[in-house]
Amino acid sequence: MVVDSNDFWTHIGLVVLAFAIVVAPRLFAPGHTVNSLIYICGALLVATVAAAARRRTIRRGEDVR
Amino acid sequence: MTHDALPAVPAAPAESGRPPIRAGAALVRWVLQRGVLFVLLLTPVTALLLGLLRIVPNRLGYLALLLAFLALPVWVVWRGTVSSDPDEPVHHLHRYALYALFPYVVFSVVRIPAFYLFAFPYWAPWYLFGNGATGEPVGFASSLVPGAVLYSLQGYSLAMGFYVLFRRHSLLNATLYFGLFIASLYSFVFPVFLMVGARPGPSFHVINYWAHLWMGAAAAFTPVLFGRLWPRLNRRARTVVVAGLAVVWLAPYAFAFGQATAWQPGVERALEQAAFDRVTLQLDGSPTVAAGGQPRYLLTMRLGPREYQTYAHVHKALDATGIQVSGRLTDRTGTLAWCTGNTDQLPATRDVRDPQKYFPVLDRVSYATLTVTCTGPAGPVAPGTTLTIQWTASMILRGERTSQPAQLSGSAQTVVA
Repeated sequence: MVVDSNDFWTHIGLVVLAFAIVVAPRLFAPGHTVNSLIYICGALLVATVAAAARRRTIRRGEDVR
Repeated sequence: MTHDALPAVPAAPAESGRPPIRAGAALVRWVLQRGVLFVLLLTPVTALLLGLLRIVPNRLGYLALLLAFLALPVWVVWRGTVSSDPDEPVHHLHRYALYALFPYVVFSVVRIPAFYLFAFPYWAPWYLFGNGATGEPVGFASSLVPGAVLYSLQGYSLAMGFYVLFRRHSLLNATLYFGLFIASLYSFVFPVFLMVGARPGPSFHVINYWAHLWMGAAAAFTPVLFGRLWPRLNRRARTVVVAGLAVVWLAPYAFAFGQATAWQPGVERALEQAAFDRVTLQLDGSPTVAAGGQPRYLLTMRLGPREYQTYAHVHKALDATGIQVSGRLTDRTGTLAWCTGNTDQLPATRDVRDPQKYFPVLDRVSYATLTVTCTGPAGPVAPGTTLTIQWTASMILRGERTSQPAQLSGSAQTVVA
């Protein structure tokens, strides 16, 4: 469950960029609420799991630069 | 040596000045090593998204594909020459090109059971891709074949993106990238931009996450197979592995094309025939007397319902061409007027590209309004008079795959307005 710095920031960058470019412009458009929520939940889960794995990696000294 | 004799060590510079510069340099290095390569490899998906988002016309998406096709080898050769980092993806592209062949086919293989469980034909979007690229009609091999190629290109591109972006091709990274990020984006993009006429329910999203999780597992396992297991296999074992991989790779295409040939046409014909049988022509309201010299009556008639569902659970409207209505208006004394009306085109939904706008338009066109004019030798009829209207209409009803001539007739009593 090792996540190094490059991979962690790649996960964060992807979810944020995709949200900004694709989802956010239509966030409040009618009929898109469920689909927007699905993306936001998925993105938050990616960020949370990646952050937890990153912290674990650093704490265990398994980080490879 | 005492501590007093140790040379003085200059204090380290303040930490606040370094991180932004290091971060900036790291970002530049990342862009050069991974970012540009990722953008070039992801062009098939980018072109699709830009067309769907209507940021650019579809034809410009294809121009972007061509430019990326030209730029990619130049970039790869240049980075291969100047890069001294052995971990840089450009040195491993030949391996990634092999690994990326399998995740996207696994994505479709694991959706084969969904066809039997949820009547979910996973190849339905391939027709849309093919139609968008070639203009060939949806539902036929002429759009399925190019659509399958485009689907493959997009899946391959996503898989290459994984291997290029991430330093570790671990199961965790693959699960987060494919199983959560790509799946969540898919659950937004397809219903919002692509699935015109469909109402994707929970099963769509469940199948989506299921398939992308397996896609991630395949992306993580393929480097292990070729990097660690393959060197240890003897010739017989390698032959078995190659045969198995070939079966896995061909399975989603063989199943899709097989069902598109054997199952889909029969189901489409049955669905469209049932839709044809439901269509009726009814009088709508009372005839109105038109102003003018010779007595004329205007009848409004409703043709429908035109809405039906395809094999892929897409709501569409039947088309009808060459509509000719004839009839007569009678009262107790006899025939008052002869009626005719014709139209060659009904309002359609085919130009509606936005899924959000589609269903209101479909509701409006589900019943088409036809105006029939009745003209006769008899004098005008007083309002409130009861009349009998008899009509016969001929037309050609058209579905996505089949069409058939139809004769609709009926009669009704009405009161002149």
